[in-house]
Amino acid sequence: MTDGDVLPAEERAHGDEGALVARAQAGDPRAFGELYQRHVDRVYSYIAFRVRDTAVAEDLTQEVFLHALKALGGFSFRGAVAPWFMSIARNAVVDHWRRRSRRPEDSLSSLESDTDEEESFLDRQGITEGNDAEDRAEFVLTRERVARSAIHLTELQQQVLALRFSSGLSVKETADAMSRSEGAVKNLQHHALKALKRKLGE
Amino acid sequence: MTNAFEGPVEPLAESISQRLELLRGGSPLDVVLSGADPETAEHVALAVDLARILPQQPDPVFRAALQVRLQTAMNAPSRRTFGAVMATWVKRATPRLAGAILAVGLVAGSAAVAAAGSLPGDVLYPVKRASEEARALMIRDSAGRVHYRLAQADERLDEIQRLIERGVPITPEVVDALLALRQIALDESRSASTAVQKDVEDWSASRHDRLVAMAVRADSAASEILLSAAGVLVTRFEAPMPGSQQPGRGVAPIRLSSATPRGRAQATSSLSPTETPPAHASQGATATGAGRTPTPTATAAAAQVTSTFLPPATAVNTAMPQPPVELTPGPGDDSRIDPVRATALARQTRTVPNTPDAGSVQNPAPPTLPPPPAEPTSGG
Repeated sequence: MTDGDVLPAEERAHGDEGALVARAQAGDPRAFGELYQRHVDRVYSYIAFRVRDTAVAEDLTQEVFLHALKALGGFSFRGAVAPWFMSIARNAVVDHWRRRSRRPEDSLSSLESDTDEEESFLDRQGITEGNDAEDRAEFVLTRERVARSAIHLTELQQQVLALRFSSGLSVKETADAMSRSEGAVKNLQHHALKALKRKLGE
Repeated sequence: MTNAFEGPVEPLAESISQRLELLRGGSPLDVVLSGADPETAEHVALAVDLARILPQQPDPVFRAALQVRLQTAMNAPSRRTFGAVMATWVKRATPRLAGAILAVGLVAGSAAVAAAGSLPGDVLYPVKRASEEARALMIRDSAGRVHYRLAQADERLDEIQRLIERGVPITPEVVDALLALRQIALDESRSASTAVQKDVEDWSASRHDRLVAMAVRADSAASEILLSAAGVLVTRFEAPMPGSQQPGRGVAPIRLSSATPRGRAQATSSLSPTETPPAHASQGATATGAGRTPTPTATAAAAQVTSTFLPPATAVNTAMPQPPVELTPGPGDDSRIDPVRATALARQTRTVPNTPDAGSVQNPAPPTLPPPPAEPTSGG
């Protein structure tokens, strides 16, 4: 009886987004709103990791969904929507840096954590068990540190890291979002992790 | 560089991927890592960390406001082009200030007090919005958060009323703020009791009426904006589905705001049942994406992202300390509802199973506002 019942049972059960896409393409704003709800967090998370600026991330997130709205008619659903949204997000970030015309090494946050050591970073695995303010502060610091280290990775490596771990896509979804093979994503992921680990240790 | 990755999958890369896949499937880390060589284990452990710390959530106000924007743009593509939507996008300066105000604590209190009566466009208005957001962060229980958001939305409604009285043109931004807050309340209410959900429904119906009443008295430009917003309130507010058998679902989306013409004469006709599909046939069926999803709230949606590998981090606002919460309550003044409109609405929005008699729409119980804080002004 609650609002959760408004989706067709099959859509709820199987997460079938094909019907939602069809409805959105037919002009149903609520269907597109539903798609938005499902994917805005991963889109935002990808962008926020890549640009490290909340205001810019919000602007780009809006751009992504406005673009998606415009491009909706030409989108052909093939099993998942996430790769489509994420490919738009990927391009939005690329375009953003292109507009800026240079990489942001000098726009880094001044949050310094050079005293941290790689070991402590890896040891921090358990911190989600707690939920107090201190842990959250460490979260932000660590994310900041990862983001700064990730700048030194290649563009593709950064994309894979962000798609896989900031947005939580599967290897297949990541491959679709990047228009690459799954094997390529696996290799990129490996090299990205390796490079990031090295950077974090510096 | 790229080509190097298009070749065959390297054994280590494959091993890492497979183990991460196991984690996604729910296998515990120690099981997944058993038998792994040190390098694989290190990389998997790093990946696990990344999956935990990298996901970020957008600001909930931004999140809701963008959804409203997008759906409004779809509703009325002819009147408000995408370019116009982008050009008029509400800059989200206000929520961002919330943290700053929190940080300086009660020093900002005096500014907030001074800003309490400000209106959009006033110098102090951002302070008012920011202090509202700061307070929102401090409410622990979801029912309280729902009611707080509704009270905030009422505050926006009052501001609109006062802007009209001053003769200030109404902009879409002002209305979007109202809709965004209602959206947040709607999302939040999904994790609250049915009584709270009912509060949101009642609030939506009653404020829809009030917006329509305001629109009837406003000039045509403002009227259009207000009616559009009113349309959003009811298209989002639908009756629960009686069952899952809903043939023809999605065929007749309700597009009240695009069907809402200018001017008061037509405003009435846009509310007539002939232009609106019967509530039980399609309203409930094609109900909005307004958070009616398996992952309705920002927190839950974030959990979806975060939990790809591991359980999500605890939501921020559940762990906040609980300083005094003080809120300028909304008017809760239903007397301004035009009874004629309200009756029309009663027909339109309430012809659904399991709803109270239509008479209650005219005077729906205002949602319970957050309880006043014990010490509204003392240090937190």
